Amino acid sequence: MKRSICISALISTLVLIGLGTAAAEVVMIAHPSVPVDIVEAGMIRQIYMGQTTPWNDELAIAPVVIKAGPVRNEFLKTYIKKSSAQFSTFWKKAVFSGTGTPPAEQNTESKLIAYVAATPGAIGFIDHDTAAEGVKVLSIE
Amino acid sequence: MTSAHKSTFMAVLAALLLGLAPQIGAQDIAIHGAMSQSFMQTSDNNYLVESEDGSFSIFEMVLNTTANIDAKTRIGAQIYGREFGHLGNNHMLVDWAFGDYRWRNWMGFRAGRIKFSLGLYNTTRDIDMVRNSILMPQSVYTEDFRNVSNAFHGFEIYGSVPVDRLGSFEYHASLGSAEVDEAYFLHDVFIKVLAAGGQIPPSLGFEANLDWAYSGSLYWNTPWEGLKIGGSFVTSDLYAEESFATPTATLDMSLDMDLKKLYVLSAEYMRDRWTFAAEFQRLFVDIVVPDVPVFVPDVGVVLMDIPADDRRGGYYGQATYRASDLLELGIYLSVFHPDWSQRKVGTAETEQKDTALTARFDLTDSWLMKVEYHIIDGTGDLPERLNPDPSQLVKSWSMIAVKSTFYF
Repeated sequence: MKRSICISALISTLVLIGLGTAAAEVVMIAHPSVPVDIVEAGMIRQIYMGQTTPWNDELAIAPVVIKAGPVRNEFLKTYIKKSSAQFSTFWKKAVFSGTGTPPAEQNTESKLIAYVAATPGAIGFIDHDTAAEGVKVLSIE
Repeated sequence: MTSAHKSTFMAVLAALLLGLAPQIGAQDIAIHGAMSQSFMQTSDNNYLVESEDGSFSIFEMVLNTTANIDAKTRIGAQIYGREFGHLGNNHMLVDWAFGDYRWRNWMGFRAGRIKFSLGLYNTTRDIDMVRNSILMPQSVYTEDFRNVSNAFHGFEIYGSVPVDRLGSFEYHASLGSAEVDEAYFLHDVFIKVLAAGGQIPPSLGFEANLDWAYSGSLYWNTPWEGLKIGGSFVTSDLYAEESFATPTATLDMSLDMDLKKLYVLSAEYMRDRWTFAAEFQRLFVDIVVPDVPVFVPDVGVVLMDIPADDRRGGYYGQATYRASDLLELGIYLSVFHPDWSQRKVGTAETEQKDTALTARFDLTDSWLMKVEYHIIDGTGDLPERLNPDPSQLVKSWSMIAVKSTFYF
């Protein structure tokens, strides 16, 4: 009996570790050089899955993600249709099969905004309530 | 130039190319790698390695680097080495090394040493971090056949084609050839022929070449979110030579293999924390071992052509559940038949059913541990070289495996 209680408690704890992150509303931001003001949801997915070509012949797309947290989880769930772990696994497969370069990662939103502001062709996402300076906010269709 | 020398040459060439990358304006140069150590023990029978007494002789290492030349062009290379029982001997070989020009979303080109796009996971079969289990389902991802269906030198066209509300299609089409440095699938053919004559002499050397390999794959990312289905194939010819030390002289043997068709049908479904996968594989191989010395009573020794065709087949179903950032659990059932036409016979040697319970622990961002338990019924995938006395094989057996991987 004690053993089954311990196993149940262990399973519950393990499941709870992966739950409990609040949903966040995200907005897309981009470097001012990016030649679009509106992005379709399908295009966001293509960009973050490495399935799209450059903005133009001179300007590569440079996607960036935040490393962890509810903003990342919400973005991946809403636009990429993958969990954070599935997204990481997808890019590890690409890296170790030589078929793609993963999005850059930043630890905080302020670093992510700074990266987008400083990197021509960059595109990223932040929480709706976060102020974004030096970048342009993209509308999503 | 031997295949080992060619591999070394390719490794040096790849290193030089990537060393030159910064000089030619390449950006975003990245280096990644991993190192794994495993332990396997079976209750009975030797499986893949000499596992009955427990074996640590499974070690893998991989290192790669890639660089973006411009917005559409990339180069990269990966070297891979392993000890897998008698396979590998920790020789670092070029796993892949190619240039990639993505002209449009729907069409890109690759040239160099390229992995066969075979099944859902052949291109990443050596990369422990991207899967839940230690041992991939051997009904489809057979270790003994790995080097035949791993990679080729040649060209590939690939792309992703969106089709409005129907989702999108991914395709690969390739043409090339390859040296095969070692392949127990072929070694075992020679062993079977020699064992029929009552002897298994030690091998002195093996070499094989895959000639004009054609391969292709087509996957449909369906409108049902997370569901991907498709198929892939390889067809080629192969010539192999191996020398054996007999008590009286060196015996040189060769074989011609017509890889008529190796195909895999695949389905994968991802939903929230769940990933489901199922694949079915068939192999159609005609093999002839020519000029085998055979003793015929009243005649003496005559040279005969011995056929050794292979019609294996198998399938698996797998489910994994990401319980937390730390823990992922999985289960698969893998069914293998060494001769597909004998799949309904139901004897131990005509099948091998492997039920695996797996757990993966992501301890840090660069360290993971895995542990798994296999309940196995049948002996159809146990080669004579590891189990020389078939009468000693046990029909129902089990295996435990543990693996630790560091990566960056």
